[in-house]
Amino acid sequence: MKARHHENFITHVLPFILIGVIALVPLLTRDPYLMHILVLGGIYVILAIGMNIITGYCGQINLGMAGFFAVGAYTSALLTTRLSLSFWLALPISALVAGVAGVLVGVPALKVRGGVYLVLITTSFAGIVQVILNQWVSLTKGPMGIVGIPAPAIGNVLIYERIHWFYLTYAIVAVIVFLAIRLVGSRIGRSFVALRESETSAQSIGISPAFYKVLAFVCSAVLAGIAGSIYAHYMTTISPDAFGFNLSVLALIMIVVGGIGSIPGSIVGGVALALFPEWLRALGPYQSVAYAAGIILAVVFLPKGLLMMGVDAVQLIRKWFLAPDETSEKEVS
Amino acid sequence: MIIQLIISGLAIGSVYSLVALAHSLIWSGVRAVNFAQGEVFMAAAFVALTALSGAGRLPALPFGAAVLVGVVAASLIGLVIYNVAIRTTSKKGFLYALGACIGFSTLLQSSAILIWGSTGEQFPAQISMVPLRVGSIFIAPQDLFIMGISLTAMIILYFFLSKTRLGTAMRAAAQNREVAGLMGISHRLTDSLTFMVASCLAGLAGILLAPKFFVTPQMGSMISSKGFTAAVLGGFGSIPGAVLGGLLLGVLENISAGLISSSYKDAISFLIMVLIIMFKPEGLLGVKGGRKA
Amino acid sequence: MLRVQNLTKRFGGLVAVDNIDLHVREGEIRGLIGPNGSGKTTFFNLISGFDRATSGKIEFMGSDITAGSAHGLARKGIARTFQHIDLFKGMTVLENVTAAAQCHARPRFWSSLLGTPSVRKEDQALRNLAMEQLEFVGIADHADDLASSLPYGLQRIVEITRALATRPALLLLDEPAAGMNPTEKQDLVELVRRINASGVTVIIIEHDMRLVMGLAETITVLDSGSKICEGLPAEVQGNPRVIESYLGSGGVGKKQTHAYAAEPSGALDVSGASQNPAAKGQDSFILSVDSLNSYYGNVRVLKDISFKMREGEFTALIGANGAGKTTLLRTISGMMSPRSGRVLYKGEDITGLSSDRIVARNLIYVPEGRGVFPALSVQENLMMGAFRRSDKEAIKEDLEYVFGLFPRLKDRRNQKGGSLSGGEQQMLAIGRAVMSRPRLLLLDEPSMGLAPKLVDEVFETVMNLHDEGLTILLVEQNARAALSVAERGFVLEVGSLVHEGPAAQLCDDPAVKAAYLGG
Repeated sequence: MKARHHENFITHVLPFILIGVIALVPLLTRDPYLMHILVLGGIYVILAIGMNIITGYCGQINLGMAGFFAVGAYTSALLTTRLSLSFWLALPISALVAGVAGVLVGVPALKVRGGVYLVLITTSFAGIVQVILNQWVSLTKGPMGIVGIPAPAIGNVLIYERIHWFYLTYAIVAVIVFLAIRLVGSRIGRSFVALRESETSAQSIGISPAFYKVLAFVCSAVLAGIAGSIYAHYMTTISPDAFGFNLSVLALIMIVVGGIGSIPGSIVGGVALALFPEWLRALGPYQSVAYAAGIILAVVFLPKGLLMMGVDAVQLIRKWFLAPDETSEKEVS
Repeated sequence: MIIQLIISGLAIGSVYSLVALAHSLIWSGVRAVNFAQGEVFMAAAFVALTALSGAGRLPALPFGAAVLVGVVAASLIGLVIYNVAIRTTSKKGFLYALGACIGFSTLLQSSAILIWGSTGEQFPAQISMVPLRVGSIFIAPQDLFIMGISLTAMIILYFFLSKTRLGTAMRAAAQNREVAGLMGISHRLTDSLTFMVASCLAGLAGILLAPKFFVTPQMGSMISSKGFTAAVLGGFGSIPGAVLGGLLLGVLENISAGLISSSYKDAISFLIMVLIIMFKPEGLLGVKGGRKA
Repeated sequence: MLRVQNLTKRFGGLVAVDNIDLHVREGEIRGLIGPNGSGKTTFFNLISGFDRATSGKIEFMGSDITAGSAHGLARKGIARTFQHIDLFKGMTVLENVTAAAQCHARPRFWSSLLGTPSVRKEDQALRNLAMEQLEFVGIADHADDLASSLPYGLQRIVEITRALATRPALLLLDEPAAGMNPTEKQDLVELVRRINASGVTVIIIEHDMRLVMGLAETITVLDSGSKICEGLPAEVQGNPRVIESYLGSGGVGKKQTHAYAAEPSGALDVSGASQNPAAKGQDSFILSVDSLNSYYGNVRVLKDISFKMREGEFTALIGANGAGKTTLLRTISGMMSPRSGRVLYKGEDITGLSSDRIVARNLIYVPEGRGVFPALSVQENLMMGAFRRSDKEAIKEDLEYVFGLFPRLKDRRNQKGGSLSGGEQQMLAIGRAVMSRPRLLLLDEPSMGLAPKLVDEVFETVMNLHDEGLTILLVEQNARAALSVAERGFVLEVGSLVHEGPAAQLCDDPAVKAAYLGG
């Protein structure tokens, strides 16, 4: 029973503690640059949760997150600049449009057997989006991008200061985390994990691979779309090169570093990958080299992700200080 | 006009073939994918360029020697990628191998920026730029040069794989790893060798293409994805398929760019990839129901 | 309730299931047996929708399900387990079973997201249902354990529980007792009876003959995809066709008697008690295996195996499918590492060395299924056998020697290995091993899938090799053929060596038959 409480704490309580801790940062410092990094971190968290649903939970490798992110960002940008829609209307619509893109990728991806082809088909999707952004100039303004994306307003208050964005982003993150925890704990989440662990066995107990895989694609695309929409309004200017292959890769690294198949892990991964390059700033020109080396080391040596490493460390310390009252080892006959 | 497009398509296609061969060799031999292949391609171009123009106290080398230096550098990078990114993650699953490879591609790109700067450099042309005229067709000598060298490399690869003991061992390991071990063929040997040979090919491709374009740290990513398309088009893991896929992709791209519009040229490759994976996942020359990718 | 008519499944040229008719009554326990590769699992895959039949018809409770999808059939009431345990490893036992309990529930996306009271109630009901199943089976204590942390026998039970949680009408069990110890098997029999009593029809594939004969009312026997016999357990046991399909037929005509074959070698240590090999003069033994234990995951496949072989000996190791024969050879040849015990080769400890190092010591393994490199030519295949050698002249001579042994290979030297027939591939695999200049040759199931005439031919060559002084350890399911060529025989039964003796004696030993077909 103890193990279950522990599990419960990690999945249901820890995520909100993490968000709470981040939300307290402005009490210490309101440095605009740090706020900027944390807003990006919040957007990354949403992206990482989306990535984790499709790849971490459902086991379908998706390197097309940049494509969904771009669909969300451009939909929102176009709706607000061309049709003068409010952000609050544009946000759900861009989530919806990204979700449709999720179906468009998810259905062909069903035909694919094995990880390599999934990587190739999802990167191709993101590549096609990238070409469209650059070439369909009449719609997207091409490489120049879209400028003057309006700031959202709550009542009469216009949100343009960093600190306001900080609170807005993390409020949305909290809602998404709440819903994501519900989703992965539901029978749907259970079906996702079943498919990841063994598609054959999942089928044998009545789980339809097609339905749940496409559903997982849609969920992750919707989240990427929401992240994209927030990004567009926060940056006020977007251009195609922000949505390249590197962003999809970043989403993958976030979950590998944070923890695969873990919502709190997504929070850690998202924020860590926003902060990590900043910590390395002191290295000057060597910053990006050290960044890449760090990623290789993390992937090779931290297979469980930062979050579980932390949790394990805490447990180890507790074992050191507390009397060994729980014997977690099970006898194996 | 169309013949001219086909010929220049074949030139770029032969470079795609080399990259596709690199992907297919690694897949069939090691059951792995090097997602940093594009950066091996880029690094070889830079190293060859540096060797050609000389650096610091090092003298400038003739073109042939510079190619050799670049290719050797590429194969060493391949060896490191195998031993650090692939071998260590082989038991953890594909996702980790993918992550580690991507880490390498970032590492190589940022190292290139650090060493050579982000703006890129011009690779001096080795061949006269004056087009040859055959009848009403103009052919760039450089295209012939690229095709010739690629073809030579493919023939050497063919002889290596089919006539030498190590090459045969590599093929044996690709067909049945376990039994190859029973023949006394060490997996580490054949796997390392496969990565080195594949990286040589990718590196050579980079050096061949360098004079046609600017050499930049970012030049690899697009080429790597073209190589994937070519490999999948021909049948992922198939050696003749990779050659055919590359040539076909080069020609298709060039024709559609010449006849329709060049702005969507890069989309052609992605579109072919999606269509092939959906409707003919075994590719043109692959075996149906073969091993899953 | 299940009516199968003229069911056929082809994979390329191979007919895995050949025109099978089968009727299963409601409430029955049906046993499905047959030697390795007889198409039992393929048959299950067809019924449960994992494979599509080439022709024929499957009717289940009155409706045609021939074209049904696997998940659709699970919802219709056909549940199954797998030959190789396939649990959701990262989930707890309760989660595994709950995932199956939700088989008939709708996804309810929005309600789940919002956590409405009705969906919460429903979820609780699903969990309760899963818990009831765990209690029924008697593993409720393990509900919160991670599925992968359980011992193997329990994992099998969890898999059965998971299948039960879909509330099936028909339960297909694929070798549920594999890897279980005797107590666990006893519990399993009792469990299957209780499941059956609760109204579930059961079809069970099983290699443990005693178990399946005791459990099933009717037994159906498959051999190379066809139904060869159906009836009461006792009838099936006595049926000559069944015995032949298991023990093999005939054998090679000429039978030599060797000087030391008749006298007991005393090398076999059935009890498994460890002895000091030095005291017995290990130098005279080319191979000595000392209380070897090998595992696949949690399954103990080899149990304290000890035996010794002298230089020049020809030993056959026989036993039914799943007895651990291949595992023993794989352990000796370095393809897998034992958990405990030692393998001494010519007095040197080679335990845990990688296969390429062991090959370097001229201990050569010809694997089950031949392992011919399909896209290499015959000659290239043979040259791979000599990969580690650099004596070019001698290699050439050996190549001619192999071509002398197998003239057919010479004719086809430039043909691809994959284009050869089964018999030719077997010859190629043996020839390739000869190219490695073996001192000790391990042969794994050389007769598998070959026509009787070819079996004789292959065995004759093996005998010739032995006559030239090669030490051979032959593993065979085809006991009669193997014992007709070897000098000495070991019988392996579920991971333990249970008999040894001169081959000629073992041939007629009723205990050997019992090891295959149960007593």
